[in-house]
Order: sequence, then structure tokens, then C-alpha cells
Amino acid sequence: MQAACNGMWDGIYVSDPTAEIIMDDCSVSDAMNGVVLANNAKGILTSNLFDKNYLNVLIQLNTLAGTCDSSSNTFGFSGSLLPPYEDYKPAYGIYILNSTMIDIGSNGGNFFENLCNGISINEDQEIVGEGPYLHLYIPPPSVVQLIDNRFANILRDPNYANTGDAIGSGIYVHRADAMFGLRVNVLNSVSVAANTDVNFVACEKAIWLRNTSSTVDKQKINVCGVGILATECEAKKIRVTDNNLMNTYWGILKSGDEMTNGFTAINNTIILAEE
Amino acid sequence: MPRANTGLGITIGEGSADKIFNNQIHFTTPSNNQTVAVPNMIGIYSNSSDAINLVGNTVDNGGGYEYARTNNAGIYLLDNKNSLLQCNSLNYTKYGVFAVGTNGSSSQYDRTAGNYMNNSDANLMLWKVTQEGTLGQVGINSYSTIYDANNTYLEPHDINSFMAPALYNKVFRVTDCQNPFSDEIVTTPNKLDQTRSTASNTNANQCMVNVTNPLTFNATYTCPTGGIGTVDIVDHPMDLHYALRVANNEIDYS
Repeated sequence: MQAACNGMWDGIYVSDPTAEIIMDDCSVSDAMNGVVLANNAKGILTSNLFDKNYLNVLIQLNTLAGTCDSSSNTFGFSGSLLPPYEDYKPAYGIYILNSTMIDIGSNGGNFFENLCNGISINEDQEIVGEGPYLHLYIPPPSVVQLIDNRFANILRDPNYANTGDAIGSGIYVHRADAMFGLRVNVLNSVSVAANTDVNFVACEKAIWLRNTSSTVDKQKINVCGVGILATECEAKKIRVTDNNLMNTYWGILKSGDEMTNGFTAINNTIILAEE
Repeated sequence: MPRANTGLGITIGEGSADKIFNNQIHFTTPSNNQTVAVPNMIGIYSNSSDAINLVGNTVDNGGGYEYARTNNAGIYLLDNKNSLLQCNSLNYTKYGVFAVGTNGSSSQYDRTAGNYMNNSDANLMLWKVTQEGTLGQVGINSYSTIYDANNTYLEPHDINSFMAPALYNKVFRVTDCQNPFSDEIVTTPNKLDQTRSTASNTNANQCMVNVTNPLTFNATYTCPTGGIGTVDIVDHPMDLHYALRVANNEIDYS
């Protein structure tokens, strides 16, 4: 699917709990929102090519296990975006908002290349509903698993209007409200020694964890500005284990905030190269 | 934050009983630039932490060729009270341990123990910037206990023109102190003696770390062979405030 004219099309919306979309070996281009899975609609996205979309996949308000499976997809940017985003590069590969029990890559890792952000996971209270039924939605304790995914050239775009710090992260995680916890696990199914792929290469920040708990295990990170960054993680638990970081300026950085007994880095190998 | 860095392995800011265990950090492709006084490549950097646990980590050249050390430090501590520094191996760094401000503990003499510092210009550098650097009491020589913290301070074996001979195998304090320090290292003379503990300023004779070499010891620290699980690390107990938040599923304790 791609645009038939010189302008982006919106996207595919699957937003009813009874709805389901299965996309296998498809190509989606020139969309503003690619595929939107919302309100526990089921989506199985396998071996697809997402190219030149502003936002590729949005998962929103999905809180049931097994509703979203995104595996072996490629998210890229082979040319230029169409209007109205002709001056930009794709903002997100997968954007997850107020959702839980989501696995990304559990049946084969995804590949994200040349985007502003790879996977962005955000939790915050929001107003939902319509008309007289508007109400405050507070996301429950949330868990997201990211398995065997790879990221390359995830960098901010100098033309990109949003210059927030989050831009340029392979994986960005942020729980904005303080009501409940968010845990995001970044895992590989094989050891670093057995893994022939590099998970993160040439990213401004490989992984940024904000106000979240996490396990980051067996990741290979090469030539990034920051490898694993944890900020604002008061009272959270973060374990960084068995990772391999090479030529990354800041390998593992935990900055500020009280994490009583909360931060652990074990068995990581870090190669620093002098410029 | 240290200036002019070209890489930091693990950086901890304002930690509380964080656990940094068994990490391997290797410096590569070095230059011969030794003109800047502040380390510009750091294996582990911790700033303003309380009771950080640094155990069993290695910072070295990765087993590669011998080289002139640059302005790097294996472990850089900036004002980390009660830090636990045990069984780390620091090899081929300009400074093995670089300490600014109050680190370690003056009341617990076994916090800095079992570290292996080899092939560095200076094994232990206590630095004066705006505050004196100290690691507190390392070992003890008292009436009831004579305790060897068993840190190893070895001289470099591949000395070259880019190194700083005045620092070899030294516990070195850069200071403008006006009064003597009470810091003391108690160990055997083959590991360190007073001649290898010096200071840089005009008050050097009274500002160096005191080294004592008792003839016998009641106890000598040995690094555990059973892995880090057997290390007596420093923890903060979980208080009721956090326990309730865990029970309510508001925070994660996995």
C-alpha cells in the first residue's frame, strides 16, 4: 500500500476489541500513521516492510495479553516523505501508548533503520471517551517485552521540528505519571557470543529508560553516543546484565534520583576507544 | 562531570547502594597525550553516591599491547560516602583509583579491600580540586585488631617516556592541606610502605597518607572465590514507605 498522489495517506485503523488485522509480507509506504492498533484490537504484523511512513505502527490502549504481535518487520526510510512531512524523516518505528502485555519481536526481531526513534513506549494518564463520557484514564502497571530487535542509524533529524531529548533513541521508555509502575525488558534470546547481529549501531542513544523499571540483557551496542541511559528512576529496579558495548562514548549511565538498592550492572563488557 | 572525556564505561550519579559487579572495561587505541591533569577516559565513574558497591570489576587494556597510559582512570570516585570498593582489578591505567572528596569510610576499615592495582602511573590518586580526596581508613592497626585490607599496589613494568616516574606505584595525594591527615593504610611492606605514599605540595610531609606495616596481622582480607554472591555488600533496608508501595503494585521490586 502506498500513496497514489503527492501526499501522505492516513493509515490503517484497527480500533475495536472485536477487530483483527493480520499482515504478512506486506509493504506499507507514504502513510502518516501506518497501522494503528487501539482498544485491544488484535494485530499480527509479520515480515512486513514499513517504509517512508511518518509514524509506522501505533499501539494505543491495548491492555490484554496476546493482542499485538510484531515480529520480523523492517522499518526504514529509503527516500523522502511526502507532504505534509516532506522535510522530515520518520518519527517512530513503533509507538506504544498506555498499553501493557505487549511483546515486540517475540517471534523474530524487528529491524529499525534511519528513523528518529525506533520503539517509543509512553505511559501517562489521559482523558478518554466522548461527549458526556469523558473520563480520566490511568494506565495500570504495565509490562512490555522487546526481544531480538535491531536498530541502526537512529538519529535526530536537524530538520525535525520536535527537538526534544527523546529524539534519537533506539528504545525510549517513559512513564510520565507516578501512579503505577512500568517495566520494559530489553532482551535477546541468545547470548552475546552467539549473537551474530548488533542490536544497536550508530544510535544517538541506544536505550533510554525514564521513570521505569527494566532489565537490559545480552544487548550488543556499537558506536552510539549513549549506550544504556537511566534517568528519573526513583524507586525503580533496573538490571543491566551481560551486555557488550563497543566504542560508545557513555556506556552505561545512571543519572540522578534515589534508587535505593535499585540499580545493578553485572557482567557487562565495555570497550572504550580513545579518539 | 569530568571534562574532556573521550569515553566513560559505567557512570553512576547519586546512587544509593547500587551494585556494579564483575564488569569488564577495556581502553583501546591509546594516544600518548598526558598533558591534561584530569582523566579523560574513565572505566567507572561515580558521583555523590551513598554506599555504592564496586566489586570484582576489571578495567584494563583488554589484554592488548603495552602502551603509554593516557589521562585515564580505572575507577573515579567523586564524593561517594561509604563506598565499598573490593576485588577490582585495575591494570594499564594512568590512575588506578582516582578519588576526589570524601569516599569510603573513616570508621569502617574494610571497605576498600582486595583490589589489584598494577601497571599504573599511580595506583591510588587522592585529588584536590575544591575538596580533599580521601578513601578513609584502609585496614587498621589497633590494640585489638590488626587488619590487612590486602590491596595490591604494583609498579609498572614497561616504563616509558610518556609516563610520570614520580607517581610509580604510589599512593599519591595532590593537596594544599595545612594540617595532617589521619588517613592510614595498613598492609604488608611488599604491597606498600611509607616511601611509596607521597604528596605533592609544600606541606607534603604532613599531607601524605600514612602507611603502617605491622609485623603480624589478626586478619587479612581475601577476595571470595565463590563469586560476588559471597561478597558482603552494602544494602539499604527497604523501609515501610517502599514496602507499602511494592505491596500496592505501585513500584516494582522484581
